[in-house]
Amino acid sequence: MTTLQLQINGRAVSAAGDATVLEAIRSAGLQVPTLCHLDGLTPVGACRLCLVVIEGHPKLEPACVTAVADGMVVHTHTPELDTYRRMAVELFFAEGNHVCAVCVANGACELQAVAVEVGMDHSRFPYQYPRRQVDASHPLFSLDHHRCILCTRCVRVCDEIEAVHVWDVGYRGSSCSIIAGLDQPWGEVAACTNCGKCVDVCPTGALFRKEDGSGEKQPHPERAHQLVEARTEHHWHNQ
Amino acid sequence: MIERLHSVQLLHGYLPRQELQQLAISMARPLSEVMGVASFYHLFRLDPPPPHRCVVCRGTACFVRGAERLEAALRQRGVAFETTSCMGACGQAPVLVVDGALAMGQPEALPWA
Repeated sequence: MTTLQLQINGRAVSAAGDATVLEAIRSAGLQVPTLCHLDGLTPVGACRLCLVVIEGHPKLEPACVTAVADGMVVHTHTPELDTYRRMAVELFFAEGNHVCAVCVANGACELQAVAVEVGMDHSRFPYQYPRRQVDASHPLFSLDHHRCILCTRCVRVCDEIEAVHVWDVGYRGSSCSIIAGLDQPWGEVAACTNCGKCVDVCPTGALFRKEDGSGEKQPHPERAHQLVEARTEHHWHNQ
Repeated sequence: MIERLHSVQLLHGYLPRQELQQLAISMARPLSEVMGVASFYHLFRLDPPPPHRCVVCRGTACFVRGAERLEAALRQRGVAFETTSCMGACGQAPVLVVDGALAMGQPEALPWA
C-alpha cells in the first residue's frame, strides 16, 4: 500500500493511498463535523458538513467522499467553512420539526451536538413547519418523520449490513422522505427482521424504540463499524 | 427498471402496487428501491388517472383571460385536473386540453358537465 503525504491545517500528515480526506483528517487527530458519515457504511456526501478547502480545487469538497492525493493541501476550518457549516445546520433545523425538549434523543442527538459544535444559536432561515407523519405501526420501533434529516444511514445500514433494504428514499424535493417497502406502514413490511440497526445508527430521534421517552434514547452508532470489523477482520468487541 | 416501469404504466395508466411488487420480485430488487424510483419521477403515476385527462393552461395570456376562474369552476365541480405552462394557443385563451383535444375555457362546454 502506498503512503501519501499531505498537509492538513499546516501539519504534515501521511495517509494510506486508498484513504479519504476525512480518514486522513481523523487519523491526524483533527475533527470536522459529520452527520451522514458513519464508519462501516458507504460514504454518500449528503450532509455537506465535512466540506473542506483543498488548495487548487475550484470548489469546496466533501472530505468523506474525496480521495487523498499526494501533496494535497487541506484546510478544515476557515471563516468561510465555519459560516457554511453553520448555515447547513440552520437549514437542517428549518426544514424539519426539531423540538429538542420533547425528543427521545435529547442529550444523545448528533444534530444537537453538531449545532452546539458549529455555534448555531438561531436559524436565519424561516422554519418550514412541514406537515409530516409518525409511523408507529412497527411492534418495537417508531419512525417520526418530523425529526428525520434524510442522512440515509438507516437506508445504508439496512442495505449493506443487514442486507434487507427495508428503507429507501422516496419522492423528491420538499416531500422527500424515508420510505419502508412500497411506502407502506413499517409494521406491514414483511422483509423487516426487527434487528434495530436503523434505530441504533439514526443520528436524531427519528427512529426510536417504543419504550423510550423524552431524552431516553441510547443510540449505538458504533455498531455498524463493529459488525463490519467482526465480519471482515474477525475481530469482536463483545468479549 | 425505468423501462419496465414505463411498460407497466402504459398497460395500466398508472403503477398499481401489486405490479410494483411483481416487478420487484421478478427483478430481484427490494420493494423500497422500486418505490423510490417510481415516486421520484413525475411522469410515473402511483394513483389511477381520472376518467378524463384535463390540463389547464397557466400561461400568461390564459391567466389574464381568467384561467384562475376556470380552475375554480373545475374544482367546484370536483373535476381532477393538471396544470401546465403556455400551450401556444394564446389566441383562444383561456384554454384547456381535454383528453388530448384543445378546448376553450368555458366550463359549461366540457363533455361531462
